[in-house]
Amino acid sequence: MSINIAVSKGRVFKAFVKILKKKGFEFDGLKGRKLIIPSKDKSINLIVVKSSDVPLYVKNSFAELGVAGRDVIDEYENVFYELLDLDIGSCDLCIAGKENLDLEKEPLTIATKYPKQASNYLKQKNKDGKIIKLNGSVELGPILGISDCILDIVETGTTLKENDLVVKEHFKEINSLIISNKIFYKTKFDLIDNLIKKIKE
Amino acid sequence: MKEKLEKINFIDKKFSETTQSFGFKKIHPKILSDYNSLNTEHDSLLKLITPSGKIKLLQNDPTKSLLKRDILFKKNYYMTTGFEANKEIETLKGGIENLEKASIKSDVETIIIAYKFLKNLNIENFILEIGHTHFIENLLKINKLSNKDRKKIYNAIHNKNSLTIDKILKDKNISNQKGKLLKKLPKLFGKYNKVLKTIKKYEIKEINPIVEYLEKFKDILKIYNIDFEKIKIDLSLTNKYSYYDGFIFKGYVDDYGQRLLKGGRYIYNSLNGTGFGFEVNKLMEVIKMERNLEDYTILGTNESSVMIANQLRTKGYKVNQINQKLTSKAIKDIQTKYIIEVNDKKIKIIDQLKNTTQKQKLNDFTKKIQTLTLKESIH
Repeated sequence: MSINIAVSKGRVFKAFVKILKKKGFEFDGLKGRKLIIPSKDKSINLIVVKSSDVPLYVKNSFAELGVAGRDVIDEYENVFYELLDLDIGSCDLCIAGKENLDLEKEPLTIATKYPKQASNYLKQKNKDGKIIKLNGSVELGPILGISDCILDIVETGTTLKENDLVVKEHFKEINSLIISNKIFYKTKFDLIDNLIKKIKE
Repeated sequence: MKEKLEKINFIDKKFSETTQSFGFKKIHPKILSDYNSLNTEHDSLLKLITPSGKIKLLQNDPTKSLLKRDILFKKNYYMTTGFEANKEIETLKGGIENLEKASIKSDVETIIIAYKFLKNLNIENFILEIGHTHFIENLLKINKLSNKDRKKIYNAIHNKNSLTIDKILKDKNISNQKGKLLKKLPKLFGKYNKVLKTIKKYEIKEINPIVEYLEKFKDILKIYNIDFEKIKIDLSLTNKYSYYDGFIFKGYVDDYGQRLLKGGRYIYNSLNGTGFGFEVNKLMEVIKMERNLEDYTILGTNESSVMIANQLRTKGYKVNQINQKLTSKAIKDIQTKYIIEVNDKKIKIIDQLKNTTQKQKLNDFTKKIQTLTLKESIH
């Protein structure tokens, strides 16, 4: 029996494969466009998906495990088991806006891909606000006047700089982690636990 | 689509049979309730605007809606529609609410009803997993922990995030028995006796009442002569809904990664009860349905067909009468034990299970029905 792992494509996928290779897993077809890549020993299948889809695959039981950043995982509260912090794909979830943005402003309008976390931010700050959900190019929010600021992940800060925006506040650190479907964790415990132990070693 | 409807009927029937055999009575939770702008719970509910402009709420949790009613039976069961605001869909939900005086016996009865219900649905590989809301609460009574730490550990236990638990315990220099058990908690689940034995070894007085409760729970379960492989413990189950207070449980199957049902003891609107709830569409994914065939389908447009259908019904048979001519393909698709095609003086009987056909005179057949005792075989 093999374990399906939905992995966020891009740099997280590359970093995760690197970890697996170090632990002795071998793969064919990593350089092509295959979306399901089994390990040579058939113990795991890597399913390459868009980052924001990783939780959906795990929640809806198409994959036992998932690898994605906390930014997308925290949009689903208490839905998964968080088995291992992988220390890859590190970045920050930040509030950013124009240089002259006053964060004390109320109501504060936030454009973001992460409405739940934006709502948590407002709650933590005890602020009145409005959240505008965008699926990409959130930087356009303050530029076009759709919002006062954005809540988004910042890696190098280049995109912000090129759009005349600056980080105003670091909300939380983001790492990638391995999450598990809660039921499969119980019914396939030995397989999952052995894999996690192997990756942890 | 037709199979879907039959599955819903099958679940409904088995649920009614199981709950009624324990003395439960059907009740219909209200779907609509009044909107109160001060109640923040309402933010997550679907709203309906009446022709006069009033806002009404569409319920999503039948338990809450039911427990707000003035008159209830002591033992209630329901199947009703719940409205999921975030998905903008309606879901068929079922459940039981037992409002008899709180006791371990009624807690066990709740889980036994869930057990028998899943069994009656012919689901073989199900597991019912028990937890207790007071277990973690009592275990976290450690002076060195701030309320914030407790909350963090509580969430980490819920998510089986061992690293966070280890880190907080290390930072706070907690290495006593409670700390050791907290560290073990994310993986402390499985066989009833094994988990119970492990917890006892830690000899923590604050969790003794829960250990004793689980011991008594087990003794009563034994009376029901159930398969103990299907009843497990996971003491890291936490109280996601603040109204649970005491034992909680969930049910799932091996190869379907979603929870089938959940329940436990609760206090809501000052009512202390125990119960469980389920979503019908999730059960539909895993049930193995018995074919609930009608005995006869009578095809014919004349009065003789009405007469035969009526005679068979008075003898206790389930009869579906179709008053229109069908194509031979449509006849083949009918799911029933026997099909009777009625002409003026002759009938044709098709045995769907044996795949045989025989012809008889109409008079002979009606005489034969009259001599039958209740539900005696004609063929």
